[in-house]
Amino acid sequence: MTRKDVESLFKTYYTQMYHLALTLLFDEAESKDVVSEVFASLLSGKAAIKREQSDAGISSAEREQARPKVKTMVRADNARAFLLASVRHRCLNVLQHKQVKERFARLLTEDSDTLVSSDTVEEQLQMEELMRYLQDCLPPMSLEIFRLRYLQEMTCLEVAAALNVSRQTVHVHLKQTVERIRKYFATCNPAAAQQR
Amino acid sequence: MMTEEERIEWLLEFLDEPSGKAERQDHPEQLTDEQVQQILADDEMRRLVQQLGFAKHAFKHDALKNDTPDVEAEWEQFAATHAELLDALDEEKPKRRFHASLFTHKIAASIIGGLLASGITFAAIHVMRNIITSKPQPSTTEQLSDIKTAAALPADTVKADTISTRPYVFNNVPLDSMLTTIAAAHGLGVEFENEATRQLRFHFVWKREDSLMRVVGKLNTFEAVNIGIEGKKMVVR
Repeated sequence: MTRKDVESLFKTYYTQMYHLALTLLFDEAESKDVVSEVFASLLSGKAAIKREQSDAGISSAEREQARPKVKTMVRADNARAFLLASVRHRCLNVLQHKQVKERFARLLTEDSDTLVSSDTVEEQLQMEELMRYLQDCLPPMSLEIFRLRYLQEMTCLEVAAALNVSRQTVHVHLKQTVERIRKYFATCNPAAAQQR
Repeated sequence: MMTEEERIEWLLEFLDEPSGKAERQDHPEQLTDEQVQQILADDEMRRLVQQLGFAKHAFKHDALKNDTPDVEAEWEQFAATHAELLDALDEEKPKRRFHASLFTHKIAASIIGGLLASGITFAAIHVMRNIITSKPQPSTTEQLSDIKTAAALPADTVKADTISTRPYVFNNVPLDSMLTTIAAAHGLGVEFENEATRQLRFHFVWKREDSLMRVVGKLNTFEAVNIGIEGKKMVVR
């Protein structure tokens, strides 16, 4: 693998990797660190993406000799899946190293068996379906309050101040949104409800 | 046992007031990990937290449409941070190119070797053709050459060629020795009824491809010699 190969992979998949990390960690700095660490592992030889064309004519023994530290060899056509799986794995490690009470307070779920499925595409479809459901049945104000409260991690008082409403109004909207989410998992997506 | 509504109410209040602003003793930041795990031991509460967490992921995923990172800037930063490792990758290239060129050189060497082998084979065929084409050449040339060589030899020397098709030149050789050689080549013996002829010396070119009768006929052209074939032997009368 050459510098150009790494650069090409970086520029091709960085956005997808960063978005996946953000979805799991909700923190831009942590997400950038995770993506950077994945590419750094390629450079340090802990993992490698096999280039079929450029390695043609070089025996596996020669290739092994050239890179004795390689732990994981991945075919070039599986590069995307490998990189995204590496991001997911590192994000879960980051979450697991956080204190339980922090994860609870920030609604961070590190349980790979429940929240994070092995199929990113399926998970994305579920998230998009839930958003469509909430956008159809909730007023924009409820969605904005939920976004500020949990994505921006503002307190109810801070949200109320930002939107120039009372704290009780914020609470009512939040309660309404949570009830809709519960209803979605109970009726619209019972299979997902069982997983979660 | 809390109802669904009570559970939601409790969770919304419980999760409010993040770190630094919490005054309540039962806020998550004030609890130990064990106390939080006790709360989540309730299946319905744990499921509610997980579903809210998934909704948070869904909101974040939806918001990513408007969050496109500056990949070029990120790459420049990454390349600067990991410049040493990236340079090491480029240093590996000549080694790999060496392997690759070694491989191509091996192929080239094989082709050249093949060409050389083909050339040797071609040369061998060419030589063999020359040898084969030389056979029908008139024997006189060879004969003259051999005669010249034989002329330098002592009178009693029998010049024998290792190549059976080449003429055998007897130059001033006693009839006894000459006939013994020719008879042996045909699986015959020699008998001298006229002992006086045994020491006669002759200059004779023996073409071994000639039949025995033809050779005998040529020898009988000499006036002093009368040679016949009787059974398994040549008889000199």
